[in-house]
Amino acid sequence: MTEVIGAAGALCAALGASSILCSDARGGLAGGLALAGAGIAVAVAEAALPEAAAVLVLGTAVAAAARFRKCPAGWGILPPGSTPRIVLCVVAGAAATYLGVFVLTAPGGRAVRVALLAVLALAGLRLLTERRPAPVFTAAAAIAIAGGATAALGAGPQVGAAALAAAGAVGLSVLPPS
Amino acid sequence: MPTLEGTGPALLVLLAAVLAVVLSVAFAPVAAPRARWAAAGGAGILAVLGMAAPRDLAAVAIVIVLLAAARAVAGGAGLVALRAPAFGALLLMGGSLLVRSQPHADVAGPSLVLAVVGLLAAIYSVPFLQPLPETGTTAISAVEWTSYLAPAAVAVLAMRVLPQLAVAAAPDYAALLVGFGLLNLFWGLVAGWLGSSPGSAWRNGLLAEVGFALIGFGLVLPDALAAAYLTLVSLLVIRLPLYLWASAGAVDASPPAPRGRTLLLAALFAGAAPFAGFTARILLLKAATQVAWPLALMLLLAMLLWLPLALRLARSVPHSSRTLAGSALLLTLSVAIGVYPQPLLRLAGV
Repeated sequence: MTEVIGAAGALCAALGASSILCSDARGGLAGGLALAGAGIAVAVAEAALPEAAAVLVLGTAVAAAARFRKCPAGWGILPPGSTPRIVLCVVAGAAATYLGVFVLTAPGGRAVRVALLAVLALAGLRLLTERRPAPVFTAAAAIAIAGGATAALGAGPQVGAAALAAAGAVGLSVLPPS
Repeated sequence: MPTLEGTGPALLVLLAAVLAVVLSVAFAPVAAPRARWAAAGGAGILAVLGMAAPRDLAAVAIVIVLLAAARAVAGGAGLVALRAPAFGALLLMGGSLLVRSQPHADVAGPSLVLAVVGLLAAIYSVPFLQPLPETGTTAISAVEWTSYLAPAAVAVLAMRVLPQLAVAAAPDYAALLVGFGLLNLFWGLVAGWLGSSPGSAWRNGLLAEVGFALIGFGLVLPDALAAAYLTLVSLLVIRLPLYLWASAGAVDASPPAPRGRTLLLAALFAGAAPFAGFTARILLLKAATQVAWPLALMLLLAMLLWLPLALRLARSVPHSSRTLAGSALLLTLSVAIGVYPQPLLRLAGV
């Protein structure tokens, strides 16, 4: 049962990161950030780190709310010319699944590895190919959440790493949209 | 094999960063934006702390993203300044994920490459250079960013990457760092020589010094590590204040500098005896001769190529009464470090 929940979390995380890659307005960006953060938190919780997961959920919620307030109105999902982004979503998602399931053996279970790789790849692609502040900082916030989960699954202080990521995501989300 | 674990490298870099900020501001030319330098220096000290404190590379990557975003927005550098550090942070996180699978999967090499290239991207070294800002900008420059973060990145390398390094991956590590080190060294020297502006000369001189430090870390011999630490300390404590003074001074409008001071500064930049650069270069040469003589030959060539760039840098330092006093103090400090480097090296754990 926990594997199913973890897989659902990984799917949410990948969908959220895809939304960050394919959106230009607050609905898609803030919603994508919330979905990505929640998916990562579920996968982290499945890896037996409930405290770190709770901190990540809290940070994600505040960051998504802040991003919602500081973005152009609307959903902005799949604007004209999105075909390359859709292809990137499919390719990066497939690559993350292959690496997380068949290549890597740690940290955590397969679900958390796939979730982290998918968010890092998709949000990273948006950050490196975008010039407008709102998508850039939303992608950076998602990367911070994924980095916090990665660090929390390591040897160091788990809640501390999650708190650093949550605070970082909130900080990045209150940065001005233009 | 010297001790590489512990907090010694971070303490050394932190101490050097604090000293660099104090010296830069205390002896700044009257027209210099001291408040901005103090703020940027404070951020630099925080950056050193933020990068050296976390135990995991992924947490270091988060700190790098936050610092780069702060520089892009509050530091006035613009969003384009975020790209190389963000790319570096992504690679660091990828390296951090891969390294966990090391006992079960053969991923030591890829994780090492991701970690090292990630750190190099985060500090804007070659091939991740950022365009230099136009003259007159108040943004925190790429030179300042590299000056503060390069020593911090190397401290991370010493404290976090090396202890996780599998024995089998040691040759890959050496090849990677020596290769990037040589690339930065010769790129810096040639581009600094051919470049037209003083800003470009300072940036490229900085890259050449980062190259020396990377080679030192790649060789992983006690002498080479000592050379790398000395290079990084002198980069922060000696070169950063001189760069800041040069960036603030109207060099073209002022009368010619006293020839003696210019020559002494040129000797300091070129790494002549008895300055800190000389000790670092001799130690690095000694280590290189133990590993491969062609490398020592290339280092000798690089030391010769430093001479024209050193003269150019020395001429660009302005010469008000304050900067004259500051230059005298920096020359004395460099001699002290060059003649008696043991306390610093002991602090670094070499």
